[in-house]
Amino acid sequence: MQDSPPITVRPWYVSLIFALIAVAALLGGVWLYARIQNPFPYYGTTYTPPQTAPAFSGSDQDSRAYTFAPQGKTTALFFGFTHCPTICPLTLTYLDKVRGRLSPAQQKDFQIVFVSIDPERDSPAQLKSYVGFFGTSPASKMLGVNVPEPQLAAVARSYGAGYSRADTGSKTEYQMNHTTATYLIDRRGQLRLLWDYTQLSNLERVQADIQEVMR
Amino acid sequence: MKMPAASARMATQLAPSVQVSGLYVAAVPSVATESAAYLTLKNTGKTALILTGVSSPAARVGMLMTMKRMGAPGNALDMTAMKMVTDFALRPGQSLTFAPSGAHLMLSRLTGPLSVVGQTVPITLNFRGGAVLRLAAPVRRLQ
Repeated sequence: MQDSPPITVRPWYVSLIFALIAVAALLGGVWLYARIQNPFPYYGTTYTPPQTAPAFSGSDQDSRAYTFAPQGKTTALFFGFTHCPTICPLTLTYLDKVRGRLSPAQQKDFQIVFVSIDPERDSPAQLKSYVGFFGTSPASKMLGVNVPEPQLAAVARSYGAGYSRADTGSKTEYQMNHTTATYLIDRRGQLRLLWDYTQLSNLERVQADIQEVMR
Repeated sequence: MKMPAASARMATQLAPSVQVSGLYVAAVPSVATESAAYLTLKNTGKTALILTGVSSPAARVGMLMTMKRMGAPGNALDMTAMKMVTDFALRPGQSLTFAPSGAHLMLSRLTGPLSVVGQTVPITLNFRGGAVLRLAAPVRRLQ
């Protein structure tokens, strides 16, 4: 009598594991493919490829020496001035609202930095009152930075930001013409994208951009 | 308070045919010396209305402003400039909205802080031909 060749029966759970691995690999592949074909639909205008955000130094709203070293936190950077009646208040209001939509952990890793393009009038004390009004979270303080001229001009230029005095007919009073972009810089210090102030009212999409960059 | 009959009648005579909605003045930090009033005006009359001025006891200077984008549209790194204009015209039936991202009624050299939400600020709008609109604008944070 001869024994029939042994039939190896694969236990059912091993088959199940193989099946799950196969499905996971397939889904992963599809996801990867989709991501490569169709990267995250950013709302802001992206820097492709990302660029290193230029560092700069000045004083913060507490008159302490401040150097912007983007490493560590995701940063929304805006160049504005405190005599600005509309765009700057609007921008800071929206950025603060978006901050409030992030999770507590994300808020800890997020900062809003306001650099004055009017350092002559925007003293640290002036900036303190300004960012203290628009930044409503004590845990995630809004920063106001005074960078004196002529360094400011170089800093602005390095970000592609522009500003110029616009006289309103008086010697002591003037308004500033300025670029109105907010720059999003990731925690590694890479400039990832910018939003125009007219885009910021779409809090949901601005938030999604920030959270994507934080990943 | 009772208004003297004569001035009440005069105010009626000079009131423009206009409908006002969404009026407010933006709350700003106490150090700020500029803010702006926002509203929608609708010309409900049969003739064109021309807004020629804004004034308020809350500001030494009131200005009619537009926002102008320099350069090609769509570039986030273009400069934006505010520009003073002498008037805004409203055809019969036309609406005009003043909003933070565009035309606004700038209040410059504020006479006191506008940082408290719930304050009320008198705003006067002047129209060509002498019509005057007196409004009370609530102060509120930008939305």
